[in-house]
Amino acid sequence: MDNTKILIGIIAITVIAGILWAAQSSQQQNEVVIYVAHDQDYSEPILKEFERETGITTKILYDTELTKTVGLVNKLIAEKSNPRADVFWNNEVSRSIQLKNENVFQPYCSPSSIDIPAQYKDGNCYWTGFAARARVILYNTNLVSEEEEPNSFLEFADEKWKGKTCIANPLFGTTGTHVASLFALFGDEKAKQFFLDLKENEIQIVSSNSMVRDQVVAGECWVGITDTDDANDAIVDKKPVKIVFPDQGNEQIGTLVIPNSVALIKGAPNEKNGKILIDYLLSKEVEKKLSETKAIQIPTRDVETPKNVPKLSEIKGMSVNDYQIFEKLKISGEFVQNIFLR
Amino acid sequence: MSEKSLKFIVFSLFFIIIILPILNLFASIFSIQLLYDSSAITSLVNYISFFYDPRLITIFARTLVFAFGTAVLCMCIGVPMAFLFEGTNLPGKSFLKIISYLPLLIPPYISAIAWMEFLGARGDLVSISLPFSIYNLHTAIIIMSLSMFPIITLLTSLAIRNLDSKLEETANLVTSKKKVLSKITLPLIKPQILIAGFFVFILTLSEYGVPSMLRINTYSNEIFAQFSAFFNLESAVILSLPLVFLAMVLITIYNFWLKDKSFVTISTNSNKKNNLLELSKLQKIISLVFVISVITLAFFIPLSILLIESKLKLIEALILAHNQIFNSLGLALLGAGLMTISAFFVAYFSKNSKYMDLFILLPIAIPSSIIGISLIYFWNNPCANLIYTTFIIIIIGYLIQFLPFVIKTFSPFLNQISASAEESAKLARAGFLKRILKIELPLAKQGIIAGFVVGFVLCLRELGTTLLVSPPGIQTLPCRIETLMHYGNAEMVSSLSIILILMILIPVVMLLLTKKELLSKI
Repeated sequence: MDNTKILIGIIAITVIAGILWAAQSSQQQNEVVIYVAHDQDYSEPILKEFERETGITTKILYDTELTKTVGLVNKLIAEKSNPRADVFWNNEVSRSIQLKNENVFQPYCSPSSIDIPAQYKDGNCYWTGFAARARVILYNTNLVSEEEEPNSFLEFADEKWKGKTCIANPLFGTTGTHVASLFALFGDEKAKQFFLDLKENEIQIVSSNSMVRDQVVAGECWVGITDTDDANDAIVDKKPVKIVFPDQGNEQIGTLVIPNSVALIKGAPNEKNGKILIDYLLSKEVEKKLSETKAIQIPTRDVETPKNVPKLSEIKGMSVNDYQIFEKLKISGEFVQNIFLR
Repeated sequence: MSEKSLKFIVFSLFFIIIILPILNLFASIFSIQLLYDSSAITSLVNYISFFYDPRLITIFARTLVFAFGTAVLCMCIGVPMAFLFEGTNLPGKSFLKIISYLPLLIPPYISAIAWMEFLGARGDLVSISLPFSIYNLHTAIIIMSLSMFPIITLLTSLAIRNLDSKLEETANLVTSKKKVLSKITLPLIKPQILIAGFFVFILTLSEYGVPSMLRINTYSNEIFAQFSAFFNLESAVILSLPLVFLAMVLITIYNFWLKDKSFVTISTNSNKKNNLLELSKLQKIISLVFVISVITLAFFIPLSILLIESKLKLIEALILAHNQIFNSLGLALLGAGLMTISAFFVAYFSKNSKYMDLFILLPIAIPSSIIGISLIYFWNNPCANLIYTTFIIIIIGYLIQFLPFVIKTFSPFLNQISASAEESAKLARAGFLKRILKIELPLAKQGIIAGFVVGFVLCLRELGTTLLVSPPGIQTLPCRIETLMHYGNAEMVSSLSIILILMILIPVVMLLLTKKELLSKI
């Protein structure tokens, strides 16, 4: 046999083996396909537990922080003519509203969600919120004393913090939602002035909320605004930092609370299993488990939690709803892009 | 199979797999909108007005400086290093050469994190305090260059090896070896050096991680923002057009420059040792200091930080992410292998084509997220389940993004083969496959090795497209590392990066130890 035949033989065998492998791995079983924007380390054990309890295989696709949870959102929009996923577990709400508007979801009122407060659910059951995070101030205790600790995000515009504060890229993720919530709460003009003041006060823009935490830990920033899960990482690692829930006074605006949200995909290939999974995720047990992780997700219901996890009832939230925030995402995004990202 | 029918099959597959998904997306955004939606013209005009925005122009200019600066610095490091490895009697050069390729195994954003740790900007584990800020364009250029220069070293080294040493030998008879290096060797390998510089330029242009960590707003961040903050796919696609245009212009200039020049040089087995430039003792010391300093900065410092950060929890990391490690290695090997085979045929058949380059380079500057979306639109249909719901879609993503790089790695090597060699074989009635196997493949083997290595490294690092097209259940290592990084799990991130380096390094070192003659071929 000459070299040519051997070469053709090898290529043919490779192609056939590849196709067989692919065909085998694409076979449908008793399964549910879930796209997960919540962190893999904390969501994976819960989904494995679901597999053990129900016997339904979960096929999971995770997002990463690099794409700021929107990799999956864009994928779901692009796939809507031929949906591949059954369930979307988002780690916030505004992109779920985007997907609802894009006609990606179908309504499903899960029996597990009855006792979840109405403010964390869509009125027509297109998505349901659970296990929340909140925006918090994190400060370096080596650089800032307890007397000086800032208790309002609005203080970031004060002269005394000039050049010492940091925030994640305000276009993306929960920071983007936070910016939009201030536009919804204050109105456009007042909100714009606040962000211009922040710029004037030399706030540092870093790549992500986890980077805000790292910069505060390193003392590059004295004070930063981030999410509870990122901040708690530094607390667990015993770094010299402290968390403050901002704007909790009677006259103050409260802080932004961001629940996870779960939704059933319109045209889901495994709709029945998708509903079973949603029922499972919205159970009190899952909220409890998520509160016990390092990411301390705060339950929306009265669930027994570790001591370091606050009750949602103890946190003063901002008086704007998710749909008001969503309406402001574009205008607030364009404004901060123009002033901060030059 | 005849040459003509094989050419038809190769070009058809190339068109369907590489070009059609992108054209499909562009068509759905432009022509179809314009045909059926009258308001689309207004919105198109609005998009075009983007380009008059002074903010955007500033960002674009800054991005060009970033990419050009990185390409130039990489060439300043990579070309002399390749000459030292291939053209001189530098002591320990074989070993140093292998080590100098290792920075390619550390993704640039991991390297940036290690440097931020080292310079005290991020962590408190290892740090030195600097009196100035590291958050600027200069740092971004230096970190990117330390990560990218091995591409230049690799391609330049292989180009020097592929040169017909008889040319140098003849020149050596009449002039000094230094002059031969500057007057014969350097001009002859210019195409490879320029192509390598072009690769670095394009890869830096689309880099997202390093500039965003160093707080530099670049053009790729702007495209990313349109896509992911505003969900405006149309404007993301329109914003990417200047990058595509720039890549096309650069390659057209390159082709035009190449047109009237002859680089026909067939590598022979004559002894290159006779042509080595003898370095004096002082020159050896200076050269060694240069090479070792660069390797230390590019590899050993980031590696040391990773080692300290990892607390050597390698076994734990292996258990945590063994699936992703094997997925990544398998997909990168398969991707690079397929890419090398297809690139060879595309490069071979388009050798004398004037217009093929425009098609070959179409995807090169398109952001990975847009390629991902175009793949979903094209392949997500019930007829293509076998492709869309399996790893095949990831391989296609690799092919679209990196095939142009591998083809362009080959082309200069293929162009060096004299047409007369093949014509003589034709006269001797050698069949097409025989000519490929007996003439083109052996003569272009340095190019094939280079193409495979470039393809493998690019596949191994890929994140943007994989993230969008991965079927549920298939995750690659960069995705896992990125998630772990977000949650401040520095130990696992560092351990996984070290495992990745070791997984490549151990087989290579073992192979080299058992077959020492291979060392001279790399």
